[in-house]
Amino acid sequence: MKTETLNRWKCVGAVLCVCGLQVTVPAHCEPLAVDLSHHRIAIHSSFTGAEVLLFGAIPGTGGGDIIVVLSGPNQPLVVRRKARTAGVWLNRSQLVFETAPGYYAVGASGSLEDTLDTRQREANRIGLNNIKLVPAGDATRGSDFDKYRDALLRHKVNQGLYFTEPSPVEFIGTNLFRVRFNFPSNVPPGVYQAIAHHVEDGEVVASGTADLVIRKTGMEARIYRTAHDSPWLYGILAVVLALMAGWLASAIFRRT
Amino acid sequence: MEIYLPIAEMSVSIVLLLGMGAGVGFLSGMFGVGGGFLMTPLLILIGVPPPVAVATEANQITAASVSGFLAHWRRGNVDLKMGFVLVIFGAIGSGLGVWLFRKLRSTGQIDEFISLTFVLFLGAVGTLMAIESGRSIIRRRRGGRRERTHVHYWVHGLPYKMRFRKSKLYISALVPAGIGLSVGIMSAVMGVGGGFILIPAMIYILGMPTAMVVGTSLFQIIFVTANSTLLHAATNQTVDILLALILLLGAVVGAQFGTRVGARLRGDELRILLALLVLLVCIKFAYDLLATPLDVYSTAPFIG
Repeated sequence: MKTETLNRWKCVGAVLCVCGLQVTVPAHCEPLAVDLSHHRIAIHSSFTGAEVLLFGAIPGTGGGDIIVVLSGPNQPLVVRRKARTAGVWLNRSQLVFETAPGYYAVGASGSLEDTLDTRQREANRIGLNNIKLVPAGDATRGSDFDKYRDALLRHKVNQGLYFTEPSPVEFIGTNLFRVRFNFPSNVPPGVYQAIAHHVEDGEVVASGTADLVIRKTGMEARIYRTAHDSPWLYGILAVVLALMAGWLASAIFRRT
Repeated sequence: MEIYLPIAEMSVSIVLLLGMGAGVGFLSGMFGVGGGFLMTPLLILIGVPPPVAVATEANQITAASVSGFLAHWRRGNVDLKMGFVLVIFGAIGSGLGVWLFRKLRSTGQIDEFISLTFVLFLGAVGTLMAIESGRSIIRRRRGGRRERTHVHYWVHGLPYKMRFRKSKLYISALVPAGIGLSVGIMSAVMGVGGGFILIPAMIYILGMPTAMVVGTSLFQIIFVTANSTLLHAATNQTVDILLALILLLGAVVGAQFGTRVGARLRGDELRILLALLVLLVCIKFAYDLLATPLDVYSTAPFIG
């Protein structure tokens, strides 16, 4: 087990150098070398979820804390609220969010509150309450907005796409760190970005990013593409398939 | 064993899907209903997005109906002429229904509309059927007079009369046409074949013999659901062919067994069982509408 880990780290060394060049970081801080164990995750027919490992190295003598945010493709969402009308529960009001990440996870070496202050966490979009959720139109950020947002966060947590607790960042020695993230089977395909922050004395001193693409492959991709590119052909195929299956079952049972 | 569904975008157990397909297919072959009114809520329960559940279910019903129809056809229990009248007007209704479904989906009222319609129709139809078939069974037990084949009232006075030899009927073509149209609309909107409305209508409004009704209903359901599948695939891209395939494998086999069991039952016994089934589903949907929900909020992808 240990040698395996060591071998992986040797390979990583080369990748880290390359990665350092393409990292985009805020002007005020140093680049932080990070990378992911996978840059592509394929959704195939037996896909039941995946796990990725983010790892990196703190320059110099080490120390401080690491906070990582991994978030997925933005998508518009609508949150609806039911109310009782004439004894019947119906959707009466709604709030549209123009963008909400399809997946959002945080990794941290310590408690988020102790590592960064509220303002810093807000600025870097760290933690469930600081996720970038943009309401459509003139929806105000009143108390009602909070209720809709809380409902959205709750639903995403229940679907396994957001997390209430950060994943633990582990240190290997003084400089190397790693953190594990889990994707459930219902993870939305798209481009994912991980941003890692090195924090010292309540300030972000270095940041680094790494990208990941999740997409359907093989039969899953072909079916999805056909459904969207040639919808009529797809529909005819679905019907023919059903007719043949029904006929086949009847023919088989006739003999028995 | 789990399989990833490309349109529903989630993974589900194949065994669970096969079992659901077989159970619902059995009911389909026995009663001549598609079984969508059970399958759609089941699919939503295991986490399939409602639009995908509705569209995919239509595809699965097509297969189960073909399987059941052929079994009934071999027993000589299908009125093809009646079937074709129902089919042509069912197709028109189905087109209207898909358009309506799109309108409703964009306003976010689709779930409520489905539930409300379900409850109203299922409640009325189930109660009426239970009363009628219950009476018929009691009368038969007492050894009373034989049932009349059908009652004559105003619908039998309409113009454009047509002879349906297999069903022993001479009635206006407007009646089956109207029934076909309404069932077509419901089929597309609710992702059900419409059998639970079609069958009572054929028995009580048209006056067809119960034995003939099941096979003829399945014949009509094949066309209506095939049309719904095609239109859902073309306009909403919500048909999950892989999900449908697994469900229909279970369903086509279940339908064969259902036909065999159904053939051993008397007309009124079959009707009272169907009535109870319909009432059960009605109670479930009424409960969902009236009971305080666990969570008054729901989240869905926004389609602008």
